[in-house]
Amino acid sequence: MRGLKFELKKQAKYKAVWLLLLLFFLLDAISIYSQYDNQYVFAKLFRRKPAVLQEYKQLMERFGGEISTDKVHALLEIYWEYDAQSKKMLSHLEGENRSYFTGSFTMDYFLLKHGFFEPLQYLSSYQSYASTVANRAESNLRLIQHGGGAALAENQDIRRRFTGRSCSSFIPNDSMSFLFGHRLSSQMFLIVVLVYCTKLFNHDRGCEMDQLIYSSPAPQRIFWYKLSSLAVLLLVGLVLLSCFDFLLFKQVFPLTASPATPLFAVRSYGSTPLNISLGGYYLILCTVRLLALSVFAVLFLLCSVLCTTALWAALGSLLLVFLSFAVAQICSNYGLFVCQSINPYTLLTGEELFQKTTYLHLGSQALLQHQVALIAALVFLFCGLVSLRLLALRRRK
Amino acid sequence: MKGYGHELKKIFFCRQGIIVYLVFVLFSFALLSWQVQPSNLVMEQHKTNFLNYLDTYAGPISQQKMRQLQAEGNRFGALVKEQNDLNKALYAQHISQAEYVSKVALIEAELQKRPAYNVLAQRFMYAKNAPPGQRHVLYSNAWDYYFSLTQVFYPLVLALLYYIASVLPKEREAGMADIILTSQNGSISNARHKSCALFTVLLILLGSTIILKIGLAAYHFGFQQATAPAASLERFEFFTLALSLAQLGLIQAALALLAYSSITTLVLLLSCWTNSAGLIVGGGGALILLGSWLQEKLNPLRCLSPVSLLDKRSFEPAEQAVAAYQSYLLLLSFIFNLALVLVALLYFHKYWRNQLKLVGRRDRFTCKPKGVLKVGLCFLCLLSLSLLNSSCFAHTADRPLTSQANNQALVSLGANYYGVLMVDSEHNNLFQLSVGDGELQRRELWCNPFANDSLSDLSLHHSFDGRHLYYVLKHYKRELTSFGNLQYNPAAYEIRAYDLLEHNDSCLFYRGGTEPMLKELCLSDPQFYVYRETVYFLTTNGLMRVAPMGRAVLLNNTLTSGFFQDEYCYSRNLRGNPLIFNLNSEQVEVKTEIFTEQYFVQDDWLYGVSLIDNKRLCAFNLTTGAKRFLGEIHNMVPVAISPQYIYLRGKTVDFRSELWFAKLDGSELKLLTTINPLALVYALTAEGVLEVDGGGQIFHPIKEKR
Repeated sequence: MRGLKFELKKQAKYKAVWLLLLLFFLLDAISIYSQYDNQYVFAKLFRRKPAVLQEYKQLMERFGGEISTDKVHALLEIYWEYDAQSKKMLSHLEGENRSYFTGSFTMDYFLLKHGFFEPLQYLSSYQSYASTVANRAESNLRLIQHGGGAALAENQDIRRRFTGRSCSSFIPNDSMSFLFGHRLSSQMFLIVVLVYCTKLFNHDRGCEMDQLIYSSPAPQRIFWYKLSSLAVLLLVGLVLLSCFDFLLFKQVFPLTASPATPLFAVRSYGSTPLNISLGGYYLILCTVRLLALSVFAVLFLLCSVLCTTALWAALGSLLLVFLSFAVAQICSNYGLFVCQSINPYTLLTGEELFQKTTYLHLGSQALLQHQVALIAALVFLFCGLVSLRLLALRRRK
Repeated sequence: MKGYGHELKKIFFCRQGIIVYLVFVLFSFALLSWQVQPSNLVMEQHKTNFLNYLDTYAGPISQQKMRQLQAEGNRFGALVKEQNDLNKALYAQHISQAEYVSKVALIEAELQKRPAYNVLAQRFMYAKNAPPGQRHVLYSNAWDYYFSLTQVFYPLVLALLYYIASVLPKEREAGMADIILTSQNGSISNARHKSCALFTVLLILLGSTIILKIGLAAYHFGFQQATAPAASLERFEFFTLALSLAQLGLIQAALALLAYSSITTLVLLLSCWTNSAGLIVGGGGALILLGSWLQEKLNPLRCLSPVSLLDKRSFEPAEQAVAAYQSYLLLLSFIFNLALVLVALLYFHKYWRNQLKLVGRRDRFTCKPKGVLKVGLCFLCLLSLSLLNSSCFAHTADRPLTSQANNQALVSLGANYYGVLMVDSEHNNLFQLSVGDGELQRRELWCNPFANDSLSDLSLHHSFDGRHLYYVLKHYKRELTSFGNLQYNPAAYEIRAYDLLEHNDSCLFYRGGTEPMLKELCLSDPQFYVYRETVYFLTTNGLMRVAPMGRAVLLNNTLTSGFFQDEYCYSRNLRGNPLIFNLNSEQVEVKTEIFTEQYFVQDDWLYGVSLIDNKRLCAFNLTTGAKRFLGEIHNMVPVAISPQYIYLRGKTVDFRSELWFAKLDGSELKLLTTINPLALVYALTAEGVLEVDGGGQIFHPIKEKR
């Protein structure tokens, strides 16, 4: 343990890494605010007319929460009136004598449509959508019960996952949706990991400490201490960044869904294979990103061990990042799902794996894309660690 | 100059430097070659004719040229009319077959120029829609290729990072830095030599990519009319500045140079403060990451990113409304990056001076805050300008949401398998229809559970090869536009194959992400056919072949409609000859001796209405060319065929439609029904015809009228 403490102490002295991390926290905050300002549908409206935000919150108190027939009917009554008016182009005629929530017909209609009608429509119809998916899987099962190994397994799994899904409460979940899609923090952290990994072995090599270390009685232990210190950095850094992201998104967006809300309540996750809550999904997403970062870290370390100078190691690592990014883009363009799954960059961004229920057939087995990705990442990690250990010890000789 | 040459030798003209450069050039060449594809396939296929036309029509449009073009169009119209007259004369036996063939051959030789003329007319109309002189008519493929190529960004950045890290850190690593500072060469001019050498390397790298781009474009297409206005290309339709193509090319190159200079100087500054190669390369990576992130923004923050100078959107705005805004952002970005490069270079020189002081005076390196203040002021000015500007461009999002089309139709797939297989494209159910005990029976077979996802849509087109059902699934994403509207944009287009025996549903063809074909496929929804795992599309441009991982290849531009069967695509030319395109040999087989209006193929026999035999129904043997008349059937058009029967549409004296059927030898012609004019699909079974009504919902077996 003394060795680990020593490695952690050394790590704490890498000021550049901490400065970079601090800078990235700052940029992350800017990016989150910018995301809210540019991509949240009501951001400009709320900024220009702060009173609309209050009205929005009041309307949400009235129509939000548990979905009931009364609430839906009350909302639809108001909404259809606006909708009919907008279609008949009568707003300018009737606008004079009536009061609006926000002060104008257009803003009222926009708020009601995108803030209440569409989300409520999605949530209230979700049960029927999920049961349709389950029923279709069921009917497919009836058809293919005498064969079709992978298709059978796939449809059985779809039926199991989609049976009984329903959304009972209506709370805006935009902040969580944006949080899940926010990938800049993990990408920036990847750069920190690159810088740290390039230093980890090369620093010792630069001051010829490696000869001393590897001639010590237990060089393997030192090797594992180094990796443990890296694991600590990964864990601490990612936890900090994830908490920071979560809190900032919660702060920036006006309303946040409860972490206990089911994941499929988010529109872009309507076909997700996961039957878990938003909070649970965020934890899974963070874990998956941690795994992806670990794979990248091991690859960077391999570069660092294989290359003679720190410059080549760093360039090799950056080339790996660029390559994995380019491969992810090609896979996304041509639908190479297997290749996409085994690319650690896909795990780093994460959300693409969980938004759709995509199966990959391996013989008679049907595996979900994220399962394949996780298995591939674990295999990469294991193989990478083994090769790293062998290469690092070979250098000693 | 001696110091500069020495520095250049240290950085670039050494063994490693040359190897890195050669690897970079090879990689760039491979990347650029991979992207070679003409933007206008028809123009390329009829290049000779098009270039001949350009001898007359190239350059700005004028009244005289317009008159000439109209005259040429009229000439083609007259030729087609003449051809029709010849057809009629032949049918009426006023001219002999030999005379007909010789005259038609001359006309067809002239009509070969028509595709090139059509492209020219399109380009002419595009040029005409702008004030005189703003757009020219030109051969655009080379320029389109040149401007559509993305910069060889990642390899260039990696090579640059290597060369930057070779300037200071390598000297420090070898312990030479202090020696140089104390030597005669270590004066302030050494900093100038270093930065000049670095910029020379940058020029060499960027110049190489530009030369490669020009070389590839010239080799594959050939450059022409460099002085034509940039707006002559449709991609620059909304570009606000009146520049020529050559000027725009130069400006883009200069902006790229500025963008990479900005990255270079920033990383060079980073290398002043640290020896760590990891930090220098990581810093470069972070810079690229942040630049790419900023570049995606539509707000003025974008101008802070050097990468935005390389962004094609600045030059190719998607609509007029954002054109001025994009140009403004480009200008801001240019000013900011120029200031950044100058300030960074000043700092580098200052750093060097301080290093010299440090060696001479043995005091600590101090950085005066004046420069920092200057940079800060620059940032503040630009940010305030940006914020001011962003409020001008803020819009209230009040436009209605674009709704997805909900297709409702039924598609018949084939009569030879399980009775009749049909796809209800509204519900995406595959089902079997049969007539048993005089009753119509529908049996549900299979459906994709996720086909009716709120962000998915089905195509009307399906394909069936006797075992696999191929269907299209289109995916959309919900996005906020720059004007604050929510809209559905294409996210992916996939052709899925369902194996009816193995019950295995798999993706055969996929286009998504940033693939250029995606938008066209999702929006135009072309008819497709799958043959030997290759997908064929019948588009308005013609028949195209696309391999699962390949690019689109235009096989024939005259085949814009028709149907596929086995290894053939069947269509018809203007004269009424069946055009049979063989997908194996990729050759068109024109049966000149056959003149038919509408036809179907069954067992090597083509059944159609003969245009030269008083519109009698004939069967032509495709191998031997033998012709036989099917009874005395006149003025009836075949609508479908099955192994036993041919189904024909006839008209009564009061112009009502009727559906008849006869055996394939023409015997036993019987009236089946008076067709419902709303009927969309006639599915064939051994028992008879199934009629599907206009809503695609109700099915009536049509029984023979007694």
